[in-house]
Amino acid sequence: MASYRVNVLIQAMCRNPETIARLNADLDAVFEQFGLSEAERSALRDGSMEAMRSVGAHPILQMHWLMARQPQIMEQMSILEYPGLLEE
Amino acid sequence: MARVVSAYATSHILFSPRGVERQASNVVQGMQELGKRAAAARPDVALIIVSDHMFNVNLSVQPPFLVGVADQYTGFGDMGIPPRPFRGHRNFAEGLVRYAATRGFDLAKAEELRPDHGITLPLLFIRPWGAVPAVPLYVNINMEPVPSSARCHAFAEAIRDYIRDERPPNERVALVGSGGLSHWLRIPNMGHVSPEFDEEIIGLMTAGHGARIAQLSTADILRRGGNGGLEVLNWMMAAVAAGEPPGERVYYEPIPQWQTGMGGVALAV
Repeated sequence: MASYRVNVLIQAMCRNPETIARLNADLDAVFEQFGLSEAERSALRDGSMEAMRSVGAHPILQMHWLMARQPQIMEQMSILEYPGLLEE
Repeated sequence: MARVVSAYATSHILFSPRGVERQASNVVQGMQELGKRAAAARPDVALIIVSDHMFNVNLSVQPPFLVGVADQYTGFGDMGIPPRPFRGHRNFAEGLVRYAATRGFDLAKAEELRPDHGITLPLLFIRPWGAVPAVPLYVNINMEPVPSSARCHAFAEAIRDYIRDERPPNERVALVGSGGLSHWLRIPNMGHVSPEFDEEIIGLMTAGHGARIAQLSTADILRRGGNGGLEVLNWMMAAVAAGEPPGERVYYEPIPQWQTGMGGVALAV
């Protein structure tokens, strides 16, 4: 059952790096704080597009979730391997 | 009567070049060329037409069009782009909001934004960092209802007239349409790239027919270019605001490994 709560959690996370650290330290505590249902928790743990869509996660917020949970995605989607771009 | 001295449209993301070194190099060179030309035009202000990636504008409040009016911004710091400050342009931005209201567009204003890569990546190529004050104009292509193509087109005409009729003589304006090309982000068909759609958009832009992009409905664009492809509305708006000059294809690479078509067009203003 889709709801807005999943998106509330991810949006809070986007603006607060501390939430990302807490997520990675104790996922269940954050789920509890945001009042997520079992289905929502399961979908976020799963992380697949189908699972996240089924609980109403916005596509862009899905990307934020993946980047927070899988730092290698954030490293891929960056300019870090183009060091010349930061030289003035 | 101000002048548009630079106008271009460009994709606004980079991924690791590993495995696609040639394409990545072409993309970066293209972005560098666009930024170099923009800096050489010595603009007094750059209006960047873009869509926020829900770092600032998210489901909590969903304005169709939003203008940053602050004197200064600090980038969000995503995509590895350092969160450095850059100047805004309050006079241009607030004037645009006032003028747009006379043309039937009631715009949202923002004093506090942390612009993400949609703005900071194009700015990274206009050297040196912060040389040109920037005004963020956010078009809500991410949350339903997306402003219609016709509405975006009419708004772009109002921006064109604002620059031409309302801005101080000798002011030099740069326009950037930021985003695109085809990509399907976390929706069915994810990972698909459509060179056919991308080429059509680039062809229209280079032929001086960027306005015709507005003949595609948002449903057409979504179907043919994906949800991320809706960012071509930002390209269309830059073209219309620039007076629909012809242009030059500076780079294009469909990169399935990046799950997107990457392109840039310089308009001959």
